[in-house]
Order: sequence, then C-alpha cells, then structure tokens
Amino acid sequence: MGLQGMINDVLQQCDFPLGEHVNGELKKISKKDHLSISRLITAVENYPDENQHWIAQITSKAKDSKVPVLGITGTGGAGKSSMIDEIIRRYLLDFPDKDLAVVSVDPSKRKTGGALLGDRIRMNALISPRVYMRSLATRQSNLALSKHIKQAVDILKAAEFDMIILETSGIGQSDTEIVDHADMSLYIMTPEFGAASQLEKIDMLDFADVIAINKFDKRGAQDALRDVRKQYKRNHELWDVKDEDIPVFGTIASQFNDPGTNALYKKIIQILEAKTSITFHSTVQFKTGESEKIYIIPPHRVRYLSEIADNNRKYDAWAKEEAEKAALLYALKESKAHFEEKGIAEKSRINSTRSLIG
Amino acid sequence: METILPITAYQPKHHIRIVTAASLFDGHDAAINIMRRIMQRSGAEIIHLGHNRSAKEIVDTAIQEDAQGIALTSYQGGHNEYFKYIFDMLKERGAGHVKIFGGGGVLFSLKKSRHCRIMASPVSTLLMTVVTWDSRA
Ligand code: B12
Ligand SMILES: Nc1nc2c(ncn2[C@@H]2O[C@H](COP(=O)(O)OP(=O)(O)OP(=O)(O)O)[C@@H](O)[C@H]2O)c(=O)[nH]1
Ligand SMILES: [Mg+2]
Repeated sequence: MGLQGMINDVLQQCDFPLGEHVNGELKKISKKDHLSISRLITAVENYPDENQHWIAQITSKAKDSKVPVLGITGTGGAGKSSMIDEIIRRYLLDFPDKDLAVVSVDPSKRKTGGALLGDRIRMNALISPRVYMRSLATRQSNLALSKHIKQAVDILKAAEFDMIILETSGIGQSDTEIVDHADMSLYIMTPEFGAASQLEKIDMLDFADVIAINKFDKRGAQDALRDVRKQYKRNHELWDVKDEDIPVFGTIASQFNDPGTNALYKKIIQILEAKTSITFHSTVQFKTGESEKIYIIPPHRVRYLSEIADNNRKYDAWAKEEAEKAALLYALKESKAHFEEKGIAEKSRINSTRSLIG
Repeated sequence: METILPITAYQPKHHIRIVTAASLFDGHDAAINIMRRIMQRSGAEIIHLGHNRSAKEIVDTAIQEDAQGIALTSYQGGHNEYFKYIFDMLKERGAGHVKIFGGGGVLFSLKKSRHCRIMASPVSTLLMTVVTWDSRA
C-alpha cells in the first residue's frame, strides 16, 4: 500500500462535497452557531454559483453592518498570526462581553492545489468560546486573499460578531489588496527589510493605518524603527509630527505582555473608533512603551555555565600548583631535618669521601 | 518475484479540508507532519494544529473550519479514550459527518486490525483507518 496508498485511502474517504446546497443555515445564522457559519462560508467558497440567490441577501445585509474589520497584512512569517493572537488576548480581556471572528488566508500551492493552513498553530487565544476562526486557502496563485473573501466577511458581519480580523497570506512590496476589505489596516514587517531605500518601494507604507516592526528583539531594530518612521513621514508629508506620534510601533509578538504590542493594541482600538462609528469603551490598563526583550538569562550572562566551568578549572590548576609547591617544601623540610639529625656522622663521612676524591 | 508499483496520488474530485495534529500531552509530531505533507501534495487543504491538542480543540477546529476529516497521531497511550471523546463530541455537536483517522505505529499495532471499528466495543462504529503496517502489503 505504501504511504501514498494509505493517504489515498484517507483522501478518498474525505472526498465528499460540502456546501452544495444550504438549508436552514441561513436562518440560523448567529455568532453562536459556528456550524452554520462554517457551512455558509464553505458554500460560497465551493459553490458560489449554485448559492447565488442567498449570497446576494447576505451582501445586502452586510452593507448596513457596522461590524469593524481590522485587516492585517505583511511579509511571510513576519508574525501576523502571532500578533493576532496577542490582539485577541487583549481584546477578550478588555471587553468581557464582546466576541470576534478571525479569517486567515494562506497560499494554495500552484503545483498541487494543496495548502498548509497553519495560522492556528500561533493562536492559542482561539480556545475562548467568544472567538470564531476560519482558515482559507487562496485557491489562486499570486494573490494574497481568497476570491471569496468578501462573501466570507459578509457572512461574519451578518452573524453580528463585534469585530472581524482578516489576515492575508504573506505579501510582497506592491500588494495592497487588504485595504479594499478592511476598515483599517495594520502592516506587519520585521527589521530585516534590506536598506532604507527598500522602504520607498513598499506600497503598504502609503496605505496602512498602523505599522508594526515586529521581531523587535532582532538586531538593527532601532535603526529599522527610525527608518520606517522617516519613510512614513515622507509618504504622508507629516514633517512636523513628533516621532512618537507616528503610528509605527516596535513589537515583540512572541513575548508575553510586550509593551510595544500593548501600545499597538491601544492604537488599533483608537483608530477603529475614529474610522467607524463604534465606541469600544476600552478600559484595560497596560504597561506601554518601547519593546525590550526580556531575557531569562541576560545576553552578557548567556555563557554563565562555561564561566563557572572556567573558574573551576582555574581553581583546580591553581590548587594543583600549590599542592606541588607544598610537596616540594615538605620534601625540603624533611631533607633538612634528616641532615640535622644525622648531621655530624654524615659530615665526617662526606669529608672523608672528599679527601678520597681530592 | 513480486514487483512493487509506485502508487500515484489520488485525484480528489472536491475540495478536501482536513484538520491534523498530534494528540494531547503528546509531542510526537514527526508522523503527522509526514502524513499531512503527502496530503498537501495530493491537493488537500490541511489545517494543522501542531502537537498537544485536546479533543475539544480538535472538534472546535473541525467545526469552525468545516473540514471533512480529522487526522491525528497519538503515541501517549490514551488513544482509545482520546478518539472516543472526539467521536462522541463531534456527534453531539452535529458534526457526525467528519471522518476520523488515526495512527501511531507501535501503540496502534497492538490492535490487530486495520480499522478501528474493532478497536473496542464502545467505538464500534468509529470509522477510523488506523493504518498500521499490517497493510504494508
Ligand atoms: C521518534 C520518537 C520520539 C521522538 C519524537 C520526535 C517527533 N518530533 O515526533 C522523541 C525523541 C522526541 C521522543 C520523545 C519521547 N518519547 Co518517543 N518515540 C519515538 C519512536 C521511536 C518513533 C515514533 C515515530 O515517529 N515513528 C515514525 C512514524 C512515521 O511511524 P509509526 O509510528 O510506525 O506510524 C505508522 C502508522 O501508525 C501510520 N501513522 C502514524 N501516524 C499517522 C497518522 C495518520 C493520520 C495516518 C493516516 C497514519 C499514521 O504511519 C506510519 C507508517 O509506518 C517511538 C517508538 C517506536 N519505535 O515507534 C517512541 C515512543 C512513541 N516514545 C515514547 C516515549 C515514552 C517518549 C518520551 C515520553 C520519552 C521520555 N521519557 O522523555 C518522550 C515524550 C516526548 C513528548 N513530548 O511527547 C514511547 C511511548 C510509550 C507509551 N505511550 O506508552 C514510545 C512508544 C517508545 C517506547 N516503546 O517506550 N520520541
Ligand atoms: N524572535 C521573534 N520571533 C517572532 C516574533 N513574533 C513572531 N515570531 C515567530 O515568527 C514565526 C512566524 O510567526 P507567524 O505569526 O506564524 O507569522 P505570519 O506572519 O503569520 O506567517 P505567515 O502567515 O506564514 O505569513 C514564528 O516562529 C513565531 O514564533 C517576535 O516578535 N520575535
Ligand atoms: Mg500567519
């Protein structure tokens, strides 16, 4: 059978259609009924034509919806999913009565059509019953979102979640698809963008409402922050604005209670309120400020075990040297005593020997 | 002499979505990583959860993602209970259509059959291909 044969068996058993017809799900649609929401999204993804009639209905319902959509985009692996996890965590803490939905898009492989939808791995906050999360494959090449993303978001709006977060797959310098689908957009990059001139090519620096330089624990982070702020000022002609007031944040999404991430979260809520007619009443207090890597072992102490070992070895060497000195001293002392005791007899013997040689 | 013919990948007729993970309290993720890569290469969309995932997390995910299947590895020894929880929870929440597949060599091979149907009586209806290598031929 072989591995492929075994997998073929699994796939064959899973190869049945979902979402060809929906019945009842539409009426049941509410943020509490994950099963129905899921099936509706599958329907628009798998059979958009067959489901035309009700999709129009959802679209018009969503048009009047006030549900804010936060779009998150950025380079592959920059930490978009990790940041979403951090945002969800703070959001759930900040608003005990609110819920939210997340849609994360990952690329389909052009060669096989398959996809690794791996964003959930980073999102531990999903365990809350107040969160619905859906992963979508792009199902098209060279684009950061799914063709059906609008309908998927519309379904979530119709279900009346309090907020929607949308994550694109990793993007390049010229991609801005996210801004068409979100009320505000967050661009996540890392300090490793190349030279400062590379920043001039990134379209999202024109369009993003907020920018996070994530992995702020990496080398060159401070320079990156300065350069990106400078570029942001240029793009938006904000020459007189203070650096701290530019919406560019250094963050470490992989660190608990990261001050930069806290500041970013506050800013996101603030901008969402300004851009939509919603008041969130955010009350939660966080320590904000600049992100700084908190080390369990500080950098200058990372070699502490080898320092201890070095010290021990030095001590051993010193002790051995001292022991040798002591041994020598003892030998000399013993010799001296020996001569003193037997001194006279020996002296005469030596003298007589000398005379023989002489 | 018997010749072994290479097996070609199954061509799915529909979009297939499968949730993959290693079981709770279990860091043995090598096998599921191999399995999911073959599935991806065969055109499936894999929602991967990594390792140490509870029955509830698996079921929540399968429902939210509207997956046709769940594929897991389990080496922690509690697979009889673990898979039964998943099976029961899916049914209870109206997602009985989701197929469950499991593996984890040494432990599963203790069961003599290829199908978990015969695993233990309470899970007699559990449709689960426990592909141990008695199916190697
Ligand atoms: C590799 C291994 C490890 C690696 C894991 C690396 C990794 N990231 O996965 C390391 C060294 C880290 C490890 C650690 C430990 N291990 Co270990 N490990 C193994 C070992 C040797 C092989 C398992 C394996 O991956 N096999 C390769 C896969 C591909 O083959 P397979 O298991 O035969 O699976 C076949 C089928 O079942 C099928 N299949 C498998 N999964 C799936 C899934 C699907 C969907 C499908 C369709 C098919 C399928 O495909 C395969 C085809 O041949 C087994 C012993 C053994 N010989 O099996 C012990 C074993 C599983 N480990 C064991 C133990 C105890 C541990 C530790 C607790 C040791 C310790 N005290 O620290 C730790 C725990 C780690 C943790 N956090 O969970 C025990 C478990 C005993 C038990 N449950 O009672 C075992 C059985 C060894 C033993 N006999 O004691 N381990
Ligand atoms: N050092 C460091 N690593 C981080 C930080 N944030 C995230 N990571 C790690 O970066 C890797 C990628 O993180 P993800 O959150 O999956 O990134 P992503 O942008 O969602 O990735 P894609 O969706 O694949 O484009 C993971 O291993 C994270 O743990 C950070 O601030 N510092
Ligand atoms: Mg991601």
